[in-house]
Amino acid sequence: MADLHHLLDEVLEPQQQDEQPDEQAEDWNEEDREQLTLPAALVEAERRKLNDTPDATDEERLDLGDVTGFTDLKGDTIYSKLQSLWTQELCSPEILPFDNDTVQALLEALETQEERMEELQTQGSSENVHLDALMTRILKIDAERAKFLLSGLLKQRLGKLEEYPLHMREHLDRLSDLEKAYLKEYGTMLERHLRKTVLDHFPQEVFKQLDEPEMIDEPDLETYIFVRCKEDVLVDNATDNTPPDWHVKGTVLIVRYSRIRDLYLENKVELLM
Amino acid sequence: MNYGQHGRTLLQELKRSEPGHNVDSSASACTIPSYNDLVVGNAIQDLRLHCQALQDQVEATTNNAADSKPSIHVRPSLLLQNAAVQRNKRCLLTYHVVRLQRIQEELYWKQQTNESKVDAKTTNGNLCPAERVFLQEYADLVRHYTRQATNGSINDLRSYTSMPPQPSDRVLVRVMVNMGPMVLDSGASAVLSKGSTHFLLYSDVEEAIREGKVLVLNGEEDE
Repeated sequence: MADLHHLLDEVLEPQQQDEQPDEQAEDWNEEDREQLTLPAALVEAERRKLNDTPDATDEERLDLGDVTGFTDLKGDTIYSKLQSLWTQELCSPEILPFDNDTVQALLEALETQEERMEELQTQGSSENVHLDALMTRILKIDAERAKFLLSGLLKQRLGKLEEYPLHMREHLDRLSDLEKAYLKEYGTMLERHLRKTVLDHFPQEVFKQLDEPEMIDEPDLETYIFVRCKEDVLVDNATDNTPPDWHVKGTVLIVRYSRIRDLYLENKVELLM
Repeated sequence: MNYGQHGRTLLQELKRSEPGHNVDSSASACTIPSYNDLVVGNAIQDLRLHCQALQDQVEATTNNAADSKPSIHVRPSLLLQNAAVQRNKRCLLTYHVVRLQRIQEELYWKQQTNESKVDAKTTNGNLCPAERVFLQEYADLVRHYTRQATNGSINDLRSYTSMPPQPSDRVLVRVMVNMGPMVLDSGASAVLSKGSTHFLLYSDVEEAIREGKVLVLNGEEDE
């Protein structure tokens, strides 16, 4: 039994093996107390799980970082950031701020990968031809996966722009420059079409308005979504006449989007699929 | 003067052609019915009549002085006429906007897969000229945006969003439609009878997966 308690200690602190018998005796006394001291690796794993960083460090895995080019200096992969961007955009009813850095970094990484694939195809030596072919296929699958996420993200954002074009004029700060140009062009096309088919046949100018306040659709911010708290937060459930609740870090809630909107924009909660 | 009945007809037409509305018809039911020029024309005409009536009433009651307001007795009638005009306008705009949305969805985004290939030719005939122009411009706009936003590495968003990406080099698949003995692109041959499972190169079966003839298994099924 004592071995289980100290199994991880042996791995992390080999120099303390001599002290084990003494520690065992001390531990029995310590266990009488209510608080247990957890092995350091378990604590580390819990902390990592709560912080939601990638599971294994890069040293423990096969180091493909420099091959695929998807790791940036901080060790957090661009790919995982893209994945979280894509998930958040799918879950959120309104359009979220555009993360230009991640997308640009991803595009550069994709270019590097394509160059590397071409290199492998043209310059691979005859001895390693099978290995090169395998490597090319792996790189291709990796690139396809990244492109899938990127196009999913872009398409979701375009879909939101098209659904609420007049409302999006108030959220121009969340769009990239290309999206602003897209919105303008789409709005122009839509207005031109409606004028040609309907509005130009109206007799009076006053009825030809398209952007009166009650005519503008807004996305429904009262939909329920799942969120996980990244810090201890205060959530206001004003409809219940109950006071706001504190929720500790790590709890998963199902709540109306409007209640946690500000918290989300301050990055204190994250949306779950 | 119809007080918005024509607008109602347009909305009913939209509702009846909603995807999933007709339970008994086949899956390829057309969600973009033929552009109803007649009823749209009637609705516009109706709106003009109401507008005219509104204007006549206002002029009749303020004949005496230039800046006098209409008397309180005619205001309900004015409100009624205005409400009819607004209703017609709302119905017409809704009809056109919903049609555009369905056109974008069916005739652009779903074109890569086989879901609406059957309908494309028939529904194209259902569009009015303005809608055809809109569809063309929309396709150009999306293509232009995609190429710019991805620095040219993605040319068509549809090819990446229609199916999940390739999971691995080879995939375990189960055949859903009997295709008999076949020679695949890479040179391998397999007998693709219904219900059989195979472990094949993804590139060989990609088309069949897209068409639904073959199902990708993830290794966790019970059988």
